[in-house]
Amino acid sequence: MSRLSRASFAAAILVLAGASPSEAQVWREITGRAEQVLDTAEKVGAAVVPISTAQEIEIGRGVAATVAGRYTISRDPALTAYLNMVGNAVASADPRPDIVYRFAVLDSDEVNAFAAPGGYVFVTRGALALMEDESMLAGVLAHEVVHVNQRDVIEEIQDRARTEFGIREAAERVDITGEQYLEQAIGVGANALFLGLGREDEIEADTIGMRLASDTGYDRGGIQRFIEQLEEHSDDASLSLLEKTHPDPDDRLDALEDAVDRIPSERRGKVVAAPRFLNHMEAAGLRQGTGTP
Amino acid sequence: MRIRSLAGGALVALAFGATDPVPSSAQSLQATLDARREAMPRGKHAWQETWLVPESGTSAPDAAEVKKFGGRVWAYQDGDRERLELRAARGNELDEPVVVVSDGEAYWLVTKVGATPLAESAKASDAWLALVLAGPPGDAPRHRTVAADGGGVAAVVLRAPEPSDFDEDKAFALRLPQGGSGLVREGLAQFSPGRDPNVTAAAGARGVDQVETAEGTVSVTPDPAAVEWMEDQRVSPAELERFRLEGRLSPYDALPEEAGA
Repeated sequence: MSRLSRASFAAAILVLAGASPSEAQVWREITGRAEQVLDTAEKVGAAVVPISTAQEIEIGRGVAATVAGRYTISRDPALTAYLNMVGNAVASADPRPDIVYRFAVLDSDEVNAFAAPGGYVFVTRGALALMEDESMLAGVLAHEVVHVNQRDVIEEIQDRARTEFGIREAAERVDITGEQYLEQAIGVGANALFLGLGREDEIEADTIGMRLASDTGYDRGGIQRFIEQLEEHSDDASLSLLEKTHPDPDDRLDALEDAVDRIPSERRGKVVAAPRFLNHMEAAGLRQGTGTP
Repeated sequence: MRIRSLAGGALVALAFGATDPVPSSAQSLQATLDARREAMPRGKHAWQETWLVPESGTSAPDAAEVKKFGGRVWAYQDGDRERLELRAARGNELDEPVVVVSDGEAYWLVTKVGATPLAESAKASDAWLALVLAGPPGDAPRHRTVAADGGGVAAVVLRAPEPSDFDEDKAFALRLPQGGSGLVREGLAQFSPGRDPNVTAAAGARGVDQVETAEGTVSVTPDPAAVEWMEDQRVSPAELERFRLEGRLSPYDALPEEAGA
């Protein structure tokens, strides 16, 4: 609210109350409190509005460093290049022009994938082991790209700042772009990845991701087949965290089934690319003798 | 569909990743623009064109041999107004965009400082631009070849639709905004070299030493070096195009079966 509007608001209170000069002190206190309410309202407004792209990338780098610290990033350049090819191919179907998408493999048997803000995307070796072709990888990476594009973790940071720090404190923190807020934001962002995003965010990432992969030319069934694999291996300990942080596979498959028909026939990709995928996995030592010579 | 090229030796620039113009008279440019305006359909159209050129030289005997990524064009059209944004391949990277806008009466070369009549600009003799302008406006086949003057195929052009709900104010503006071309979604950050120095300098990839997970609180030693390594593993536009072509991903799914990868 502008200063002029604030003055009008305070004056309106006085006029409506028909205040006399002797009552001015009382009314000054009332209008002072009204000003405080307006202050808080403005700060709450600020809390839900912007985390800029530059801030998002800074937060994303911190979250990515935390993910890389919890697991270990594979330093295999060929495997990482392959992941970046598939990931950037699907991302370019609907890219955010203000960020660079980067993809890496985590050396972990755990089955999972993560999207840190600002375009930092990870998939575990365990998840790659459940895949049989490139369209499945494309489906998983597209799912993560949607989390980046929708700024799901950033929204989580904004939401949790409001609910966990309290309105006024959150407003003050969001005003701060310095060290303290950045560290808080990285912490909340990293926790969001490991505690899980909302069910709606996950379903949306599946369905929009399926469309991205299909627009790129991949068989849209890739993500469905991957989720079927999750269902099939649901008793494996390696899926424990993923199962706690994502909706039930049946619910995800139902939502994807509904979304499949909404993809126009001319935008339905067909590429599965199993040999290329398996050759890359073999070269990285993740499979043996499964690709084409 | 085969379209006769208008400029002799026109794809020398694309084939070698250079931007040296091939001489072309102002008269032939005007004829091209007049023909284009004549053929312009009603309504809004938007598309993207991927230009493939021979590995070397200006022509190849067969279209199947024309598969080197030469550049990409984005086109936005509404009635007799249009915007063409061209990015030529230069080695493994993409050149800065060349933006041409028609306001319905004249074609302009648009830059961050304003617009110059295309016919009076240095780009008036640009060979690739001449070929792009000679291409069909509005709806067109997903795949076409451009014949070389001396015979054979000079280029293969793959067209893919773009959303036609574009912002007309941005599309037909006669000045580019700072920090980008203003409309094309793909490319500017994505194809910028390396990591953003402003971001790198700002904070470093700090992390936190404890996270809450669905399975309890876990101690972590953040690994900023791993993030920097990840940031250095960039794929170039040309590498990405080769990957798409090899896998017949969009837009290369429009190539005929016999084209090979």
